Amino acid sequence: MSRREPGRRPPSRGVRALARGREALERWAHRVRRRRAPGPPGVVLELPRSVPGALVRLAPAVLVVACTAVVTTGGTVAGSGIGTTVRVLTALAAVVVAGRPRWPVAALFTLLLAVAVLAGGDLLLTDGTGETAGPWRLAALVLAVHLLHRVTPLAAHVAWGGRVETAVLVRTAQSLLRVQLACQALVLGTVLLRAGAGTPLGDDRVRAVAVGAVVVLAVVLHRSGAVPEPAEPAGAPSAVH
Amino acid sequence: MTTDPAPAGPWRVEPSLVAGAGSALVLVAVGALLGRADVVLLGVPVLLGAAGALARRPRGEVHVDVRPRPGERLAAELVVTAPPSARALRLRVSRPGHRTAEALVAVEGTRRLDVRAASVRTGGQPLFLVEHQGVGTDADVVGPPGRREPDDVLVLPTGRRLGELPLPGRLRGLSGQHESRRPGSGGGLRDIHPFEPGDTPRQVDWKVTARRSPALEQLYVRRTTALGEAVVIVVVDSRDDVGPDPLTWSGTPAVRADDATSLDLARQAAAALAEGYLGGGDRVGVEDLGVHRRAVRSGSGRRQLDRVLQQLAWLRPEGDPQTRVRPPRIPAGALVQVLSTFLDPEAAAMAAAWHRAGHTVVAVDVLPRLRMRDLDTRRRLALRLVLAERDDRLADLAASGVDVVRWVDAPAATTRLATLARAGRRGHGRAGARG
Repeated sequence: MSRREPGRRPPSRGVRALARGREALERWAHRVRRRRAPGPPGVVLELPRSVPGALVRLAPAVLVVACTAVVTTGGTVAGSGIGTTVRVLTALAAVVVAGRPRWPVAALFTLLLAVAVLAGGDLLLTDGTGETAGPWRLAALVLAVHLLHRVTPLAAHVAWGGRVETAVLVRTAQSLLRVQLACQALVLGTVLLRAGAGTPLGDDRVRAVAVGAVVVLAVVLHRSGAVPEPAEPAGAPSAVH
Repeated sequence: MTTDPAPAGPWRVEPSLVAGAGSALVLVAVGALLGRADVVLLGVPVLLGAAGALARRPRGEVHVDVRPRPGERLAAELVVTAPPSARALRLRVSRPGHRTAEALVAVEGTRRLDVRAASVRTGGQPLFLVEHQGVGTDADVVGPPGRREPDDVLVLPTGRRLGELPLPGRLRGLSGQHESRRPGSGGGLRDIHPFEPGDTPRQVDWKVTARRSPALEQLYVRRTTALGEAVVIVVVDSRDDVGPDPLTWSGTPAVRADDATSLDLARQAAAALAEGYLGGGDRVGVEDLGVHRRAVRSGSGRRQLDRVLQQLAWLRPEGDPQTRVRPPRIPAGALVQVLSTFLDPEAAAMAAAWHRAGHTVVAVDVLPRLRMRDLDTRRRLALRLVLAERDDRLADLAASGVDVVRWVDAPAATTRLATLARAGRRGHGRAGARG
């Protein structure tokens, strides 16, 4: 009869579970320690004036919230019964657009805004409904939506830990300002047109504003290059690939 | 200076632009259908912006040059050239062991940017890997991504000032700055000796002659010691390049840029020793235990120091090293400084063999101070076994008569070398007993 040595006895299930737990705890502690350890030194790219990339990455989320705030300010959206849905979807869009600016969240959110605007009252009305801030809200919304569509693609090119040179933001702002001037003029013109419709003086205004809007649009499109230039003569050197 | 291969392909429209323009068109259409001008107005700026972005779509290539800054260790100038209609450039600059720098920079025509990195690493290493992508005015149009592979730069080691250094048992030649035991000229008093053929009358010590031989039947001369130079061979073990974190010993993750590896310490130690010996007029050569072909024959002077530093900078582990049947040949009477981590027995065996052959041998331990706090129990146990073997190896070396210096503790290493030098001068120590 062979006698079993106590040292050779395989560990019981409880001991094995304890050992596994201890190893898992050690691995977790190891990961925590490594995460808390100071990171390696970084490559330094010297830029004269720059802002943290995190600011640009967060800007679309802020604009999403701002757009919803503008739309829901009057209370008409809440009255239509979709207020809660809009807020929930806004929160979702804000999170997604901050994390994944490449996804077409801004476009989908614009459609959501349009639904909210359609569900609410007409933002161009200046009287008769008790709502007098509509045109101002529309102007703010036009600006905010445009900003959202300009800042989101910019954020898609920026890492959270990166830097964005101020000159890039200034150029984006200049590009945005040119279009906004035309659009705000269009909003103003539309408001005046709606306000004066039906009266002789109003009809004159309508004509003047319409002509002005067309002129402004034409100038803006021409300045922005949306109207293509005449083609170059054949044989001219070209850098097109 | 290197120019990147021009990124191929046209500038493309980002999906966000298509999606934005699509949603704006829907807004305009729905607003027009339902008679809601406010909804139409929401879509107009997005449409105008998209039209502008498409119309000003850049055409051309982005080029990035990386020009290393002369005189600086890890610094370069990025010269970026973008087509006229590009407004920004997305840059990602990286190098091993460093955090990556990312930025969106404005660029119009040509732009110069400074980039630098701090590192304690020496030897051959890549400079900066630059990845770039042109961005159009409204960031909705982007160019093809480009990549500029890093140039290799050679960072020469810099030594630190050492005090006294141990000398070999035998000095060579009749010139140098060390006094040998042989009679000659240039050194201090050796002895008083009866005049022999070959002695000059100027060497006659008349006072001693008058005292010992008043009748002048025998003249006595003062004999001086000759000067000599030491031959020092710095043997670097380039087979190991281990950092302070044992988790990096397998190769991944990379060693941090602010962590000096064993080979960095070996280069620094070898450079300091070479500067010290060559500054004292001695001859210094370099041997590499890892590769058979590399060797700098012993020489002296400033040019030899440049050769030694260049050679040290080129040292790096190369694959699986061949086993040496016998130690590299060392000039007779040379002092051998063996710089190694002694994690395997080969370097210790070589040092012991040289010592048995009659050379004065100093073993310089260049293993960095290890960080063991990140190790789990198993790795800690494995490391303890490896270190225990190493300690035994070093203890055996010391017992066999080889002096051991631990380089990572700089003041202690300097003190230890000075102690060895003084012991050698007195003739009691092992290293430095000159003949």
